[in-house]
Order: sequence, then structure tokens, then C-alpha cells
Amino acid sequence: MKNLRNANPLPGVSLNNNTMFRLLFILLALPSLALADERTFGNGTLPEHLAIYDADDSGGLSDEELQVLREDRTQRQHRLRNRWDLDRDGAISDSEREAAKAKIRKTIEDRRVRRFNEVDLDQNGQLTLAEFSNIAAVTQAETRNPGLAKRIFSNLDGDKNSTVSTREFLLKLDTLPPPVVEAQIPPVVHPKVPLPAKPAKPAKPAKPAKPAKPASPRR
Amino acid sequence: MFFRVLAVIALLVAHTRADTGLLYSTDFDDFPLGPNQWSGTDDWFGNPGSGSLGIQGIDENIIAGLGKSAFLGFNEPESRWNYVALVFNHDSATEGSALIEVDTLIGIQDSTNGQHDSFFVALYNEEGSFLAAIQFSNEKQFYQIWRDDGITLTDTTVNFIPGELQLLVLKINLLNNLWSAEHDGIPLFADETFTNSNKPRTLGSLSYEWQITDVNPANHGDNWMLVADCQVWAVPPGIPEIELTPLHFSAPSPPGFEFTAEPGWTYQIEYTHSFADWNNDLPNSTFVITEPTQKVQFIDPSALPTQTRFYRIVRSITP
Repeated sequence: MKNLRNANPLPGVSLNNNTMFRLLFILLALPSLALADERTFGNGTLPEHLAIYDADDSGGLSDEELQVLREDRTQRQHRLRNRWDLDRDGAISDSEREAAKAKIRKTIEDRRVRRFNEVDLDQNGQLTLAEFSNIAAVTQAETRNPGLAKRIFSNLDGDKNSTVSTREFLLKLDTLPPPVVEAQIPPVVHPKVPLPAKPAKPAKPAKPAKPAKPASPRR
Repeated sequence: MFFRVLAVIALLVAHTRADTGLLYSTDFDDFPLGPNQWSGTDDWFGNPGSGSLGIQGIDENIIAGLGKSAFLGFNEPESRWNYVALVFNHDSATEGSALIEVDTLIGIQDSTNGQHDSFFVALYNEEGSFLAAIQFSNEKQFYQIWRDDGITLTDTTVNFIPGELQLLVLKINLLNNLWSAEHDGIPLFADETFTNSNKPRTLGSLSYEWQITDVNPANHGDNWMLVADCQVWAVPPGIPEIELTPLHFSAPSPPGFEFTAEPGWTYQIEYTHSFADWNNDLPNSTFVITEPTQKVQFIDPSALPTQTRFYRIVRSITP
């Protein structure tokens, strides 16, 4: 089955497969304009499945609420599973799994569109070469490989009007080979973990439960 | 004549060692804050170099309201392969818990520098040999999650969403060499071969890993993994179903029963007449189990037809 590893090179991009693969991913991920100089995570807010433990609506999880979260292990799993269990039969069928996967891919694609719009500085729905080259990752790639940004840009610019539209960008995404299905490839080698020079870790006694707030999830 | 024997079977689990149940639960709130503070705290350890480069550590409120969490990645490492691991040294065959469950709330933050790496939740045996892993490939296509059995890497076809905390649940049967996994409630796979590595299947250590794609670690992605929590359980086998043999004890057949027992456990049949004292002096009433799902048959030739006798099975971890 065709995948990104064995895909034909894009026309106009004469690079070895590994380089092309990496560059494609740069485009797919469409990183933000600036390199991160400090670490941030997502949008910095609690995901919904954790926010429900914020019983006092404080915007964060107190020690007690975190304790409830940890102790709610089974329910937490069930709640996450129930999001995909559309027929409520307690199991995720193949079709429900496919629907879940599609929803996740849609989320990823929507974010890519959002990021496209972030890069589209004049917000006209068209990326110019200058806007495209402004992307930190592209700038870095261009430094290493002069002329590369223009070659990739030309490849994305299907109608050759010197701009890349959202449609062209997503079209390019759509025409990329599909993700590998049940592919099997040799894994990277995991070296032995050199265990620390000490006797086996003694089992830890269960930590005493912190006083837990009564009702955990609000929703 | 019927025996006046009522086989009341109360299964008691006596843990002689605390090696079942919750093996570990993180509380990063107890960790010192800052870079290089994950490895070296609470018995977590990392690869050489990881303790001084700021590639791992403890954050506070990197997600508003989450409290402290751990990170791995982002800064320039010395080597391509970087890990922070915790030793368990749990041998299911001798400690009575074939099923290991790992619950960990993790997320991968994508790169902004055009380099993309892979992250792993990996399992090693007591010798430190790699057994299996879940790979979060930020390097291969489309944020894919892969299953690594030590020989082959298999696409689960499920994506992760970068920049989101998602719950990874692993259920590993070390004896049967099978495992299942869920990611945010979506089954990644079920009852697949855990490891094809032909290494002894014990839970030596759990490791969070960052594998740099480029051969030069200087060309690392500024992607990183957030670990919000980690719980590891050794789940003891459930209470076995007990069948009476025969269903009605009648002379001359002495009373007996059978049940399925699990390795790592010793089963002791005890009896009482009054519930005041339980006795364990019946002949051939101790069963040390070494094979999975072993059938145990017990017959009490000493029971008197005129006496009411109650039985129980006490299960304890084989010393």
C-alpha cells in the first residue's frame, strides 16, 4: 500500500525521500510564524474531560479535585469511551471506532486551517511566497537548502497564480497518499535501559487519601 | 446418607507482599519545580545527560489549573534517545498479578522549528531489555500512534491530537503475552501480541522516551511530551468460580470442589464447624500454582457424614 514513505516525489521537488517527507510534514503541520522560545502546551487550558473535575468552577484543579480525578480512574475511562459509544452498548464497534478516528482527523484538519489563517497575515485567504517564507520552519529549511521554499510553494500553487489558497492547501492535503493502514515496519531500536544501581524498588504503600470533595463530575 | 456439609466458600486474599494493586501513582505536586527535576525524584531516572540539559523537568500550571506536570523534550539533547523511567521489577509469575494496567495522561506538543520526533511509552523487563511500546509519531505522517512489539511497528490507524492531554490506558497480560490499549477511549488495539522480543516478560520499568528523528541530536524538534499523571496497577486475578463435586455430597463420595487457580498464588483450603476457628490441617489442602488457569481439585476424605463442615479458600501470594 502506498504511503508517505513510498509515495512518488512531488513534481518539481527533486529531493530524496527522507527530505521530501520531512518537508511535506512541515507543510502539513504548518507551524506558527515564530519559533517557540519557551514551552507552551496547546491552548493552555484544561480539556473538557478534566475540566469536569473542577467542582468549584475555580478554573483549575485543587489538590482535592486532583485526588478525585486520580481516584476516578475507572469512571474516567468509561466517560472517555462513552463519547464514542454511540449506541450505548458498552463497546466501541468498528464503525464507532472509524467515526471516532474521523472526528479526530477533522479536529486536526480544522486546526491546520486555523493555522493557515494565522500565517495568512493579510487575511485574504491566499498565501503569498513572502507569507509562506515567514513560517519559521520554512525559513529554517530555506537556510539549510536555498530555493527550497519557492519549490514547495510552487508545488502547492496548483493554478500557478503565485498564491496558495486554503483550497489549494487542503487539496494538496487531500491528494497526499492516505495514512498507512496496518503497515508493519521495523521499529527503531530501543537500547537497554541501564537500570540504576540499587535494589529493586520496594512497593510503595498507598498514599493516604486526601479529603475528597463529594461529587466529582458536574456534567 | 447425605453429608451435612455446606460448602461455604469465602475467598480471602491475603497479600504477603504489597506487590499487587496500585504499584505506583504519580503525584507531581510533590516534585520540586523546574528543569531536570523529573529524573532523580521519587525514583525516576533518566539517561546520562538528561539530568542537566533541561530536556526533562517539572512544570507548574503549564496548563492552567493542572498543577505540576512533567515534561520531556523541547531543548537540545546530547543523544538521539532520551528517556525518563521508573523501575518496578514486578514478576507476574512470582507475584501473582498477571495483568498490568498503566493509565497515563499525556500529550505531545508539536514542533515549531520544522523538526519532528517521536515519543514513546515503553516497557522494559527486569533485565532492562525492551519489550514493547506505544509510539506517538510526530515525525511520520499525521500524528499517528503505532504499536511496537520489539520486532515490528504496526500502525494503529488512530491519530493523536497535538497539544491536547489524552488518556492512554494499557492492559498487559504478561503471562499470556497479550495487551490491549485505548487512547482517549478509542481502542488502539485489543488482545494483540505484547512482545515478540523473546525476552523474559516481567515488568522491569516503564519509560517515557523521546527519540530524535535526525541522526544529529542538534537537529531535534522543539516538540515535547507532557506527562500529567501515571498510575500503574498489578491487577490480581478475579475470584475464581468454584464448582462443587459432586453437587450433592452423598455417601460414600466425600465432599469436594474444584476451581481455577492462577500462578504466583498459593491456595489453602480451610474448614470450620462453628466459624469460631478455621483449620488448615486437611491433607493435600495446599496448592502452589505455577501454570496459568490451572484446575485445582480438592476432596476432603475426612468429612464425617453427620457433621456440618464449612470450607473456605485462602489465597495468598506464593512466598
